[in-house]
Amino acid sequence: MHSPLEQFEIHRLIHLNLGGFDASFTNSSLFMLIVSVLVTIMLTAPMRRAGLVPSRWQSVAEMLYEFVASMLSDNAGKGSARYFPFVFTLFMFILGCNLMGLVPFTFTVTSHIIVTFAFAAIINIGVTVIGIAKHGPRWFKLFVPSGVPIPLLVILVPIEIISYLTRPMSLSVRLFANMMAGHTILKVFGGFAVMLGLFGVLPWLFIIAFTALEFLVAVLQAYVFAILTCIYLNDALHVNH
Amino acid sequence: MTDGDKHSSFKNIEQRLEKARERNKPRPSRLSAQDSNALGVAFRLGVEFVVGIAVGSIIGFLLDRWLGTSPWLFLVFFVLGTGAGFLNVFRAANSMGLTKTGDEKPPEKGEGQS
Repeated sequence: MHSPLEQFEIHRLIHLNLGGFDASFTNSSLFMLIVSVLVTIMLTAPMRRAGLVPSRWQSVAEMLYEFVASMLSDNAGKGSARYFPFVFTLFMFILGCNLMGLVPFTFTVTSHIIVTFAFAAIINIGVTVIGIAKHGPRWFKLFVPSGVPIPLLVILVPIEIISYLTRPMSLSVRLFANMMAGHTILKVFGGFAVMLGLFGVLPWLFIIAFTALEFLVAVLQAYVFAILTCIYLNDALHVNH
Repeated sequence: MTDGDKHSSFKNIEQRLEKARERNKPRPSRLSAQDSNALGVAFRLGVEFVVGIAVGSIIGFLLDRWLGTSPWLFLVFFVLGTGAGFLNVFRAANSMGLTKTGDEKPPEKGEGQS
């Protein structure tokens, strides 16, 4: 019987050592590459023969594009259009990884917290740099709640700073935990289905229902990740405090 | 195709459309969106709170190791991290429209007093 956590193991496919760092090409890298290639093909191939009346794949590509464009303009407001390529790439990559993980015998890249944390950390560092570059010292007002007596600020400012620092953590934990928990549950119930013999029909039915829910979760978490990126961008572009 | 055929296929198109719409109406499923949404809210609030404490504790721990003031900064930042966790939960709940007041000031004040 396989362990339900075996699916998350990393295997080195091509050993590579760059200046003391283990930069091997792993199964995780392989699936990142596959997802990037598939997403690129899916988005560019139908647009080559783009018609006024869109084909199926063309309308899928256009809908995704417009979906992210409206999400960005609704949530991040003015001046956010410059960051559209980043948000769109991020959304498509995470969506691709999440959906790719639902194909049997694949590896789910986003079920590793280091991957999601790297995304979240890059987003938050980038957003901080944008905020400081755009507003200068005024940006630090973000940490000072308005209308509070000065003695309380001694407590409140550190709390606000810690709260700001938790953003990459909560963003990455949410995506990672949803993906990992879902895949583990699927594997555990898959094990039940095998062990119970004839009665294995019951966990098997559950797996069917749960797979449908996993599709919802995969899309929803990619959406949540992208929309929070937009909200953070909004905080950086428009300081309200 | 004869003229009569064409006519009949268009005559009841209204009814057939109605039937097709009826078939495709969303049905309430056992794993309803409402349930999974409530679970998502619960999960999100839990993560927000725990992450606040975790980040506060880590900062305190690292500062202690750096300055050699163990365990005082850890304790201080643990409390501050808990405050940040509460603040996170409150903001998350606010952004989801779960609180009745849209005002952020009163809870912040309460946190400062505690």
